[in-house]
Amino acid sequence: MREKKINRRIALGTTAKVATAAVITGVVGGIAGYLAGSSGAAPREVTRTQVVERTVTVGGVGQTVTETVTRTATQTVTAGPPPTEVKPELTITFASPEWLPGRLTGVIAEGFPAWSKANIGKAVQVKMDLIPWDAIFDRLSTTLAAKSKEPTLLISDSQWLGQFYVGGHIRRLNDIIARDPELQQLLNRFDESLVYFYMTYPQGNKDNIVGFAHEGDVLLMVYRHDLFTNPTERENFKAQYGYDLPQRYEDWYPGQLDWYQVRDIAEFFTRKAGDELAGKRLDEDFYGIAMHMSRAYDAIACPFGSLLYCHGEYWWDPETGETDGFINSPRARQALDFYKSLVPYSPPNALEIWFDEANAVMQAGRVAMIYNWAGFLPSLFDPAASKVYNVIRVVPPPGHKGEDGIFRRYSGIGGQPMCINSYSDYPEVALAFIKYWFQPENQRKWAEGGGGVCLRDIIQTEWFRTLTPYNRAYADSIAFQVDFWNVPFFFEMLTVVQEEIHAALAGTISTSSALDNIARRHKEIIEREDYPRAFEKYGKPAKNVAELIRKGLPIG
Amino acid sequence: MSTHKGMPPLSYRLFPVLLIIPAVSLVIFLVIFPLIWALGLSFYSYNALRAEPPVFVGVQNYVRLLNSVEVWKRFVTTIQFVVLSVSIEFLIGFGLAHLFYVRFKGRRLAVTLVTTPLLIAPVAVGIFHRYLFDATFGVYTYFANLLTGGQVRFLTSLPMFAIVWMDVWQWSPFMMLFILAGLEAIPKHLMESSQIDRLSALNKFRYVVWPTIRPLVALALLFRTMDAFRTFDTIFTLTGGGPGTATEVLSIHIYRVAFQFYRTGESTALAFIFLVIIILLTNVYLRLARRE
Repeated sequence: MREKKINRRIALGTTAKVATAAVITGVVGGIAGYLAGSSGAAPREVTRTQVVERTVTVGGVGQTVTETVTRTATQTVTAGPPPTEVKPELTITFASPEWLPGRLTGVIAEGFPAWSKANIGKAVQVKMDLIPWDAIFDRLSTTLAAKSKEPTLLISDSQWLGQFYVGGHIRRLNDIIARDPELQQLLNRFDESLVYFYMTYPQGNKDNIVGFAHEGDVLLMVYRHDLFTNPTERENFKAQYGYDLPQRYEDWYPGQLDWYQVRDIAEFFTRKAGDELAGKRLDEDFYGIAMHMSRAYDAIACPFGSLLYCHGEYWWDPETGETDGFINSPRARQALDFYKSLVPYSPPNALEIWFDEANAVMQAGRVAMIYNWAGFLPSLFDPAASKVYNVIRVVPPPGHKGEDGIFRRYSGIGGQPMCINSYSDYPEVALAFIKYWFQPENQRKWAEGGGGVCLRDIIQTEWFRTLTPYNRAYADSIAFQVDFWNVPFFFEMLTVVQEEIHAALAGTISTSSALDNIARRHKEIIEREDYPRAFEKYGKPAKNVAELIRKGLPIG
Repeated sequence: MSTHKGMPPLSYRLFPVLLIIPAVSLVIFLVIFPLIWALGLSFYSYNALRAEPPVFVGVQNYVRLLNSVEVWKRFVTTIQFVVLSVSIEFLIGFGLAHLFYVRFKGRRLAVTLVTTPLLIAPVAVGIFHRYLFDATFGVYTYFANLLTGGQVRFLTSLPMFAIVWMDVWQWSPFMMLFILAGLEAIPKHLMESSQIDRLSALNKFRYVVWPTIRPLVALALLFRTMDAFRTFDTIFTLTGGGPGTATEVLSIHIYRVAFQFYRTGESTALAFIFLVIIILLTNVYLRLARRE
């Protein structure tokens, strides 16, 4: 075998070429990285396009004329003066889901260096760490388990509070609040149900305030107003079901529209391609309702929770941890049977529907109603994304009158508080940001940009209620929100619900078996965790939500 | 440069050791140490998110897992997925390899195109199959509806078919490449002799083709089986393990126990059981390959 000799000249030449290539690659990569970093920086403004409508009713002698004026408005929230005016002396990180409220928080946070310089004597920059919804729990929990000092501030979904607090990862704020009259005053401005489910562990126990409500979110009904007000459809519906289709906001709320009426409506509007709908021949199938039924995360637990509560039942007894006779009670079975009975009136991908899929089918103009989170509704009103942007309305969800004659209206709560990382070196800076966040000017920007305001005195103003097509429904719905468990083992409880009910919806198991399985598996988890005994040191939930729901009483 | 005993000097003998120390240290630090640590952890009751110290429970985690109906269900699902996907991939890969063994115009381009799925990130494969299988807007659904005249819901009614299809779509070309490499390695004179001797197609395959491609087929099957066993990302993004738990394979279950439920001790025990299964399977394959 002949060996090829490499002389020193060739070796040096090759080395020089490799080195040159490495340097060039480094320089080009550096420039590209810099540019990418610049373009990937947090946006300085968030724009929300929506339809603004005004209904004018003119009553004359013997006649009433109702005219709806609709126009498209683009609302842009900017950060104000460029942040370069105040040079930051310190940077903290704020971890948030990657969605409109997260981006908007980043825009509002751009004013913090100037505010913090003036108020705490140090210019602090808040850098957003936006994490996709699918990954945020894993990211935050692993980061906190590693006792990372950043993010200083983090958005925690309401049900994560117990896990993060019991693990010692987020700060208890009571001692700080007790020393700060401004924070005490702030605490009184939140709606009670938000304090109950967003800010305390155990739920409603004000001895452990572990966060401040940041993004309020509720499940709302979006419906095709053009179809509901079409004279032929109205006439046909009344002939078939014996009552009128809801036409006005008040028919839904405070009117006592029942979930079973919603099912009638869904059945009525479910049509095949070739059928007629509001005087037009359909090219594609049209569906009655799109409810969340996906296996993902809490996609089933929240809407099914709404139905469960409206049927007068809760997941468990939060005081004793008992599940038998709660989640598998006759009322719970009725609720699940009802949930499943909506599948035939849903799009074929019913069992994959979560917020995106629900929006997609509504935006395509192929469904009469959707039940979706307020936080995801803005795109429905964007003419560039939605075929129905100008013919839809948003209303609070219905309730249900049980066999006991009580009309119950509850809904599964969404939304998130902001919490302070226990391992952060800058808790006082985080608190300063919380105060900054609730400044009137910032709350105005938050509301105008489409954020879910949590302060009662703002939510109930006429300005807020008419700011977006969904704010009124959002404001009216806050009071009847209910959450599931926020205990440290919530994820296992949640996964059991998602698995069993998804299987029941798919027809793999019966609804009765699904609920019996949930009760059994939940019981196993609760016994293994030694609940409530092992968690008594953290206090008890303020109220027995199960009892209140069974009696049809408000929670907050 | 020799010592009095004919041995090279110590510095000369130590030099190779010095060279491999960084790599070995990295392997010890990043692979061996965590593996031993995890093995130790599997004997503890420990939740990484709780502020509580680990409690030694002996083999309790293993006993609980091996007696768990839920775990066995996931195991059966995993076996179904592995057997179905690997065998179909083998058949398709085998067919494609024979197709591309024949020289024709545009062969190289065709091979490149067929192997493209291998280059796509598994998460992307899962996400776009979710769109393809979507029961309202999906392309697969559209054609299936046309063919059957009904409403096909792949992800609800045929979830195992959907995940196997996705895996076959991505990994059949891998089988094809291995088998094609084996076919290309058959000496030309053997093929010519078989033609001169007028061997039947079956005998030609049995006595000429199979002995040459056998080691590569065994290797491809080994790789694919191990890979299919630990499939996570594609299934997680396509079905999330649903409907219910119909497509929840062991790797997804381990992920949930470890990073959603934070039953850290139990999840490491499950991961070790999983590891033992894969090692056993690997040995079975290797023994079979050697015996043949």
